[in-house]
Amino acid sequence: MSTTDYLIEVSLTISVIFLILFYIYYKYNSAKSEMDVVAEKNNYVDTGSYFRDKFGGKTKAFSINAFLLNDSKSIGIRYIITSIIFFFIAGAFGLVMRVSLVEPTPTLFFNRTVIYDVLTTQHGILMIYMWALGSALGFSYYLLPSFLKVKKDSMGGYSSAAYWIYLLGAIFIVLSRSSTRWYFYPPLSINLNPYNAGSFNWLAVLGMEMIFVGVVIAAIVVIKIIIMDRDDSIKIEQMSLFAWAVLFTLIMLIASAPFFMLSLAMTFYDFFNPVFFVSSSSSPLSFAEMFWIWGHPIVYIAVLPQFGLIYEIMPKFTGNKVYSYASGVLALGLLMPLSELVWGHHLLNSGFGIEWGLFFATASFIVVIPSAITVFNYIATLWTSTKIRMTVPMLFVVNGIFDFIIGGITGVIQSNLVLNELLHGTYWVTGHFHFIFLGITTGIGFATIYMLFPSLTNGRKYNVRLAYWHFTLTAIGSFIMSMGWTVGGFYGMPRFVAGYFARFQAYQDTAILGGVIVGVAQLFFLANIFVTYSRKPSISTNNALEDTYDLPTAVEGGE
Amino acid sequence: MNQKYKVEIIWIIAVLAVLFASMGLNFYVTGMKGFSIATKETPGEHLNGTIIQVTGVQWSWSFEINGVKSVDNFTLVVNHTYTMVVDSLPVGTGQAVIHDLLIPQFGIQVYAVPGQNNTITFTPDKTGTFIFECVEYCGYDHYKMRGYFSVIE
Amino acid sequence: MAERTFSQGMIFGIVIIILMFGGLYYMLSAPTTLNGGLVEPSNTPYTKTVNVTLYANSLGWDYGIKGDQVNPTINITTGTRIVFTVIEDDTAPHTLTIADSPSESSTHLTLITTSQLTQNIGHTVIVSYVFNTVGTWTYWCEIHATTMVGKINVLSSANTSAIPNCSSGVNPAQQHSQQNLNSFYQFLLDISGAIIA
Repeated sequence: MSTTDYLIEVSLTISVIFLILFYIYYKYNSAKSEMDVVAEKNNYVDTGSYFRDKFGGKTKAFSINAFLLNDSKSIGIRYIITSIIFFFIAGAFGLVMRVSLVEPTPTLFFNRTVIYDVLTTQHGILMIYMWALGSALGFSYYLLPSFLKVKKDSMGGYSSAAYWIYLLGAIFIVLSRSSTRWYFYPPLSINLNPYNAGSFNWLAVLGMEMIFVGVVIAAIVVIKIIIMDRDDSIKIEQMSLFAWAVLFTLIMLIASAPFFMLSLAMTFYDFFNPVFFVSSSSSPLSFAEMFWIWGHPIVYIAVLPQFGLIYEIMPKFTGNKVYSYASGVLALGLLMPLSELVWGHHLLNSGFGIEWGLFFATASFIVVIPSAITVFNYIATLWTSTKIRMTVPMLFVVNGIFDFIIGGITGVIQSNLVLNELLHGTYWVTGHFHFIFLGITTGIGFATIYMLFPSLTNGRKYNVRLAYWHFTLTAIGSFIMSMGWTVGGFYGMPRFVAGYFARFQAYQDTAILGGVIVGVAQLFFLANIFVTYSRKPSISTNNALEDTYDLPTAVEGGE
Repeated sequence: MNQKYKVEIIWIIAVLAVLFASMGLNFYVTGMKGFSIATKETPGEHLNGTIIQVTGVQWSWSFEINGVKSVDNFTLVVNHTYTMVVDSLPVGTGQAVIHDLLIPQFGIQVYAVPGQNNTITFTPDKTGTFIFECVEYCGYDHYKMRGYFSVIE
Repeated sequence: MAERTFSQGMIFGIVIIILMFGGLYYMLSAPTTLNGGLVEPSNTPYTKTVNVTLYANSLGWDYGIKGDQVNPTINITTGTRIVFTVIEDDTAPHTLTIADSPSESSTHLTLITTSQLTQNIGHTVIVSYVFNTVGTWTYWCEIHATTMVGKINVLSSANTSAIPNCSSGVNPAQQHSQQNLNSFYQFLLDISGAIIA
């Protein structure tokens, strides 16, 4: 079939699809304007909130209603549900790909190493964008209205649209079976065949762009909630540390995301006419620069909201206030600009020269200061407590601080230029960020979900024994896994490979042991969902995080 | 000044002291190493040893020392200074991709970027057989871009 | 506490499990070289044997070999067994893949994989295949599919008239983006077909 025939068929098909879509949109829009009139008569600015109050009731728990209503609690529940689902999907990918490394030569997939590449890519992209970013947005939407005593929800339609764009982008990424890594370095990612980036890598680029559109819209809405929807009784210098953390995170996100969005668009053009990121007309490294201007902040975006959540969870179990509110805000605020300055340390050996290296190595040293202030603040809060109740969320918090210290130290060592030449691109890096991502992002994420469990499940309490097992196995497994990588990486074990030198097998097998333990641990969480839901719901659906809080009533009186 | 502020200032100063020490160490140590970028126009600017022309292709490394070309293995002489000029070339009509050569036992690493000749100078100070590998994902057989080289007397 | 009931929330857990295994199945069924779909006929009788020697060079089969055409077209009759002798000519990885259609199709068979043909110049791998279906076959290297493509014309045993060689005058760079475009259109077609269905 010739290209012209393709074009005719495709344009006809697309025209028919668009006609149908337009008809649906027309029907939707006329219904929407009727709804708007009704809502306005009842003095509501947000139509979605009106219909929630009128028909749906106020959603606080996991239910299908969360996907139909568009108040901030529902949006938060949507993001939390999605992030948990994608955590399990990406976790399964990670587990299978880890087990496939049991022998130095790839044998598990019948020599089809491309499966390993696909799984690695999907694991990385989904974990970062769907689990870390998704759960952070979910907790922001869910918790901030209660922390800030928001009286009315607005811009629910924007949030809802942003969520669906975001979800569709993730589905595109899964469908693409892309095998370039999560950083999409161009000369590889524009070669669309199974031997390079995967035949449908362009779909992954499209999906990534959609994720960004959704996330940036959601970020703007959340910033608006923090700045403008805050109740007058809460001054900005007294608002909760979680709100500060989310505010700084999202400002950072909006400041750095355009670089990667732009470079993705240029990559998409390169699929059809390679001009931007090929050596004949430009430098492939220019993509790497633009990517890491976003790619470094994203790893802080994955931990900063969790830092804020630690500040919220800790006082509930230590009985005292956070040791120093001012230095907590200061540290979170410093992390925002500093983390945007250090992106060059991902490219230290790529040929920028020693001067660039020294600049970014020094900047990377400076970014330690706010992290250290944060950790000292946690330790001081624990230190000055008279009695610490070691419940499951608190155990996750303590383990998170412990893992963050190890992960932080292994990270800052690496910004030494000489050591970086040895460690860059090895499993040392993988170990470094898995310490932090499993300890802080995942650990605090689950701690928060456990804290919110009574609200999310209509007043059911989670099974404590299963939760203990979940925590214990996650902590032990992640430590074994990350340690195996960190030590192996120090001896030069390369990451992102389907096969390796036989001398590294001990470290890989250690990591597989840890990985399997982590995988089994998550099954305890899954079992906990079933066990919890098999109980009868109770009347009280309050949770410990939002104890002093009522749901936002929708607008009264239209102001 | 109350007790809390004292504690906070102490920990900030302590962290700063440790960081400045390691920063100074960084400047001191990197001053001793020669690794820099040479463009195609000025290839000889920073070269001060026997030149090894390293070319990364999908998916093998080729090394050219004194006109002798070898694939995925090479031999060096101990206590002799070498300068690697690393480039990446396309295979057939495709696009060349980014590779990254790592020799962990000597602690040297240099990216192979298409259209750019990165250089690194080093002096092997022990004999034996050592490994080298590609640590930047470059496609299907990325993990096979590795091999052994030997340093002899 | 003791009594256990089913509640709608459990659907959430079930959805997680289903999506987990569904995603895993989808990823594990990613198209790869060994999963082409064309099966080699086993124990097929053949009437005669033709020896074909191919030098695997990323610029084309038999590129730069004296007196030999680049990407030679092979004319045979049905029931012929071709013994391919593939010799590595540069240091790049190559495959030898065949399909029973005039272009590289999704139904194909990789006779020689990248791991069989090592990247040392002069390394030789010998495989054979019996061609029983009349028509134009294609042989190519999956890694260098834009340059290393040739045709095998299989005629019925009665008809032995020559078939003109097909030569391609397309600029390789154009071909690259053409290939990407085709993949784009193919995907759009698949998606739209699925939606309409």
